[in-house]
Amino acid sequence: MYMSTLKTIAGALLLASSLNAASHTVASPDSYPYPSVVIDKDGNKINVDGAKLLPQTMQVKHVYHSPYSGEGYNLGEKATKEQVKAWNTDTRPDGKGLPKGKMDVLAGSEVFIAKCASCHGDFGEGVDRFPVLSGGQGTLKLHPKTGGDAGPQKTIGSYAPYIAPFFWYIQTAMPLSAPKSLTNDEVYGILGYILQLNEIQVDGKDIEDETVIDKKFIMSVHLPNEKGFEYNNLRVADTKNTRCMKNCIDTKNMTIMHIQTDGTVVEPEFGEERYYYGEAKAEEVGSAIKTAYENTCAGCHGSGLVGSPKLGDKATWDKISKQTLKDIFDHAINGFNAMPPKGGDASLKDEMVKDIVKYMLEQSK
Amino acid sequence: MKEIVVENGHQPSTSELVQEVAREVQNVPKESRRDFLRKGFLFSVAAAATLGTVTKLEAKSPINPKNLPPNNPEWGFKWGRDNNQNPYGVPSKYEANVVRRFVPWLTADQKASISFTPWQDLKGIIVPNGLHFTRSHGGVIDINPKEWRLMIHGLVDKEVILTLEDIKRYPSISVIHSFECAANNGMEWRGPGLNSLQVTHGMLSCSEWTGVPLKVILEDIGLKKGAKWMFPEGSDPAGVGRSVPIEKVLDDAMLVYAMNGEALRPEQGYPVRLFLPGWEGAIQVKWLKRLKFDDKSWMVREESTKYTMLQADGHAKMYNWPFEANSVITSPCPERDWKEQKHGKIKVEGIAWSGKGAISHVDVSTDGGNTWKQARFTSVVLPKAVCRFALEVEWDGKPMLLQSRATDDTGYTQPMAKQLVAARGKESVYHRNAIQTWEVKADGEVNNVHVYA
Repeated sequence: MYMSTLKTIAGALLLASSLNAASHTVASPDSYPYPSVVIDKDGNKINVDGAKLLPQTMQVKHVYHSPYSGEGYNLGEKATKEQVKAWNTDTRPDGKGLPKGKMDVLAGSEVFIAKCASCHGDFGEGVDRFPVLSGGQGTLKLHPKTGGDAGPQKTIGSYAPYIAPFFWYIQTAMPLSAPKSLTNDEVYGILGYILQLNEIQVDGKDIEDETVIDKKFIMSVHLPNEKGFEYNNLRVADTKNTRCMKNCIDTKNMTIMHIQTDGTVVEPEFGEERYYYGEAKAEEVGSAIKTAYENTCAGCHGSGLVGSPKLGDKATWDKISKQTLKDIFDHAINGFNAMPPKGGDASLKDEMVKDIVKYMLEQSK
Repeated sequence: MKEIVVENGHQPSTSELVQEVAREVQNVPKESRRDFLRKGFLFSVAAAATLGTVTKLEAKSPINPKNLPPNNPEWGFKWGRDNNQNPYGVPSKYEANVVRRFVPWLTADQKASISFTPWQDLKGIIVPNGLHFTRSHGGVIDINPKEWRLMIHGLVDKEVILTLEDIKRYPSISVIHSFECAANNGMEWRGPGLNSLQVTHGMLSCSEWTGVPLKVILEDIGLKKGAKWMFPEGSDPAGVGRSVPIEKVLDDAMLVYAMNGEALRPEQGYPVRLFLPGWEGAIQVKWLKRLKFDDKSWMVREESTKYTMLQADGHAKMYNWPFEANSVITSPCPERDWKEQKHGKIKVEGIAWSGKGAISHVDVSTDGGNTWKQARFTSVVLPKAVCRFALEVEWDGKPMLLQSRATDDTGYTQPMAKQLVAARGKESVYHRNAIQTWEVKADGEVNNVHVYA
């Protein structure tokens, strides 16, 4: 009786305590029960979070070869002959891909002067920093010791191995401000003029103004540097440094070259400090105007191409701002010198063109 | 060459310097102006352009002592911004100097141009998408993803046109790889010219790329016998095209549409670009329009008159696709020098990468390359990816010539500048991976120098 009473009391106490503190180990601020690393049955060190302790090295080398295949996906629509023909414009060194068309060199020179010379110069001599297209033959071995000496001049005449690939290049990418606008005839004419500027001979004969350039002619051209290239053997390094750890160089004959003239001009400028303490860079006001400027006007005005007033060129814009706004608007809307009406984008509303003009004046103060 | 004299006490701004240079250029006869412009280092902008005296952009750090211990800083006393005030998110306003930069004199315009990644302020191996260097030949374009089409034609069983949804339906993978321009460091062949890590090594990036391996697509549409080369062409104004050998196409070439978890940035070819791990950037055509398979390569402009390496004897090496092992110390560097670091134990940190495999060792020298110590890796080391290294040194104010030297798992060790020049001359332009030297002066100033010994 006594024992059974005791058991009942104990049971009640047990019940009470399990209600009170439950069967889990109570988290106590005085101790954390899993402090040490343990070893599992496979000998791995297991950390407090149950993860294996990783070796010190964090090197991971992996291979991306998983067994999966694209077979059977059967995606995409069949390209029609018409679609392929329209996009299949590349031209190989052997002439494959060169289209029908022709133009004589005199006509080609006129196209070149109208559409290419503003960057490349009337004679392919290059304007500002745009590519030089002519001359340079015999310069490939010039390796100047200082920046001031003449270096190699890489042009179509001096360096390019094959002329036919330039058909695709010129037609796809040129002129910079209006790519894909040249006809097949015009590209042949331009190629002929560039070859003439480079004094390329075909079958021992000069290229004359009357020479007609077409696929057959281009395929008969051999550029002077056709044999000037070799494929790089990428399996064999051309330098053989070793992991020497001491006494690696001749310290008595060590030369240290310092920067002579520093070309480190960058935009945006470097800050004096690692961190930025200026005003928060606010959202651009009138960003639609800025975007329209970037899309339509910056091609020329961003760099001062074709004699256009360069954005930010204070002196030039000061002169412009002496005209009446009405005149400036008129030039911008109807065209002026080399500039086409509305910078070439007829879809721009007059008001937007005016806003852009104001923006450009503001940016060039 | 006339030096541009900077008046005492006047700190010219970049635009003033550029205008000054432009005025100088006008005095050069037209005949030689081209050369003058082409060789940027001749710009004698005197001391004005060195980093030590760069124009002050903003006030020095305004430190309020009331925010320092034992005071409680003021930002703990009031509520902050709403959690989703910037739904995309922007970096701390104090990080606004960490941006891509460009060199105004380097290119004729800002369309066919370059901007550089600010490695001096980056950590880890992943470059944030907005800071990935940019290079395009006809400006950056925006393509409506629903109007984007990829044509695959030539020597294939089925000539097809794929949509973006088609590309995304194929099995995809995500891989971490570096991405570099062949001209990275290319302005240094003739000698040290730029005093900045950002512009000497900033045409390098590293990201996680997601897309479909090209061999997966070719398993679906079928490659014909005799297909030896692939011609990828971009749909942008420049329509960049290059020749890719079929061996690379069937190895690890991919069409990628995401980087670091989000869609490609427009600057990186949105919606789809070709991706060739470890190879030069210009061949990894952005804004992709078509892939043509054929039996011969094209030798187009961008792989003949450009992106070829002229050797000392006048002939040139072409098809120089992968990058060899390379490394550079990112801390210290000219932008982040030790002028305000106290003497004592300090860590030299840097990045190493190879287009041919994983980096196996990086060594660091403090004496211009005479003695070396092996650095430790401080990041994962993945093939064809940037990895991080560090080595502690004692900074006691004694001048140093700091160098790093990477070796990759092909056994190739990064060359000294003189070895590279002996092998190729100074007119190679591309793929310059010479050991970089930072001169640390007694006052902690850091400069770009070249060591020949």
